Amino acid sequence: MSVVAESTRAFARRSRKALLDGDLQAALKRARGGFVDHRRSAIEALPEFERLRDAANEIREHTLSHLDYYLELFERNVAANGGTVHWASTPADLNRIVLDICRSAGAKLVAKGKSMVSEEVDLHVALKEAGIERMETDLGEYIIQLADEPPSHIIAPAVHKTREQITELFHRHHARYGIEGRAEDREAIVAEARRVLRKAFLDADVGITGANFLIAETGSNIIVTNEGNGDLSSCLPKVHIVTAGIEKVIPTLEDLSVFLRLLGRSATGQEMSAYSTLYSGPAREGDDDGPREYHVVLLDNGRSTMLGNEFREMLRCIRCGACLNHCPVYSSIGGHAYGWVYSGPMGAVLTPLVKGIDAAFDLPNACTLNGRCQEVCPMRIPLPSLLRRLRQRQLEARFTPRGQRFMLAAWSYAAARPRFYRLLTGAAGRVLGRLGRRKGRFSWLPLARGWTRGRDFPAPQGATFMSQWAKARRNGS
Amino acid sequence: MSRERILADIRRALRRREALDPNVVRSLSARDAAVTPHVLPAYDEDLVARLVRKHEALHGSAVRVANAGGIVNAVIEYLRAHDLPERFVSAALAPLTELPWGDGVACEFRPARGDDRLAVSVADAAIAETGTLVLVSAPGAPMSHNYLPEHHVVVVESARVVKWQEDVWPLLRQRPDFPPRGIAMISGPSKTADVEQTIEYGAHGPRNVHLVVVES
Repeated sequence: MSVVAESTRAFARRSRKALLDGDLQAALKRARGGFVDHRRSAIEALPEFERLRDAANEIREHTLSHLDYYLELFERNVAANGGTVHWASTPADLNRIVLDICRSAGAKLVAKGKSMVSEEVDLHVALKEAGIERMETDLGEYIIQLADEPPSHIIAPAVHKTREQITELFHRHHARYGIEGRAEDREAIVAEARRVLRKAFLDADVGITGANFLIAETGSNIIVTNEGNGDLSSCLPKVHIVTAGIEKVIPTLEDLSVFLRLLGRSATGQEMSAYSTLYSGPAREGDDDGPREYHVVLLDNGRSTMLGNEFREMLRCIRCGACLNHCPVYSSIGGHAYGWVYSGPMGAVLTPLVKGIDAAFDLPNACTLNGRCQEVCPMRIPLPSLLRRLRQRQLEARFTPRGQRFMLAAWSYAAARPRFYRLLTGAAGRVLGRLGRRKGRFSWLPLARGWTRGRDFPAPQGATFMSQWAKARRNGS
Repeated sequence: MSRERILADIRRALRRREALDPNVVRSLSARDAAVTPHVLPAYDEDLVARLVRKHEALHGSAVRVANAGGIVNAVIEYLRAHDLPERFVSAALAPLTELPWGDGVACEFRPARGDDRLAVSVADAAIAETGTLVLVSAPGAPMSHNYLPEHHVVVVESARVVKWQEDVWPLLRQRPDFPPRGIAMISGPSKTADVEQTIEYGAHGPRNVHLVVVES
């Protein structure tokens, strides 16, 4: 496994490194505007967008409130189509189930579509240890597989790679297919990937894909892609395995239509991605192609706990990536700094919940609470509030460093006593105002080195807002 | 067993000890059986005209023909325009099975292979709202035709063009094989933006999707 995925502790160090990485900064800058602008024009063209958000939230809330019912209904309908549903409480369970299916199919090569759940459980490690070759077939996932890195964006996993880096990766790894020259431009890169991965689709014994949604009514999974790689992984190999979180289930096809209108627009600004395909079971009698076996592995991994606590709203997430694209922190440091497969605001919430609040201490704190993520989230997940709740949990569990805890306690003591607070801030304002009168700012302050190292601290004007307000009232203005 | 554990954990999270009581189950089934569309984006445009406009905006090409006989010309013109051999795979569905292809044109009714250049399919429906073609898998209509060949010609009868995605679901529910194994909703050719966030067509699937609308 690569360095980045190992630890969620070294956030500050990784962020500093990311900020100084010229290639990464260039790649992030190019991505930023595109995602944001495309999303905005797609949504401006659809006056019903807000109503769709309401409807989607209502459907998700309805489904989550009866999650056991809809999962069992889904399971029955998958069985009626001739498929099998498996249940995995933990990542180890999921990996064991997938490996068992692969082994009984005698699998040597797996063609894999993009699946965040498989990233979440490190399925690639399990497959490798079992001696089963894996080809990621989404171009972005394939690029980071060659680079041996985790995804840095949930929908654009190789967003951090420049074209030159991709050319080099292909050159280094494709010699074994007898490809000599360098694919320099975009067209040549895409054509070379098409050629190499096509063989994987045709030779693979097992195809593993994710699911954007599971539909209880029909026992289907749907995958939404632009490349068509997920579809080739689903319909060519003789065994198809779908990996999905338990929160992915929705009741009916009419419900699905609501989500599809939100997903593409929020993710990439598309009305519809090129391919939205529903798969319901293995090949039927008389079918000319299709897998002989169809399996769905449902993963819990902390989700049922979230269902019952104050983080339930996070289960509404449809993994569109809009919160990443609109986050000033993500846009500055990219996904790898977050230390796990989920990044940006949704990752800062999910990582501590799944990996433990001690393992990802910095993530909920690396947020300015500017609220853009909540504004653009199609599911209106209150991400800033969830991050605040995580900070509170950290404080309660005493994971917050002692100095910070002391300052917070001191501030909360003062803030709960308005007269004392005014006295204190008034005095501080007067003293700092007098000291900083000449320059109007401080380039150094005791206890505030973290602030002044990067920028100056503005000097107060002297009087506080409250005292100015009182004075203005007295003067009758 | 993970299954029982997960279901028990879910019920505990929902503050319920057992599965739902029959009255609640009845109300859930009633909700799902009602299958009413939620929010339909308003628009007022001729359905076929919009389908073609949206499909072309997605980098697809399109032609309208007067009757099923026009399909032959449309396909042959496409093959010639793209410098393709006069050999392709086709769905074994009406009206494709009854077309007079003429000498020298090899129309093969079989699943696609890795080196097939073109497939001809019949759409079960098309959604004017988004320019989306709906292709359902069935004997004679293999899914591989949609994704393997470099070029995809999709025939749709104008009467099968519907206004919204939600109009497709009731049509599918009438089929005896519902739910069909594969329901492909195709909106333009295969593409990727994984290199420099810039779109390239023909990632893994077809570089072009050519729509042939047959007036009916």
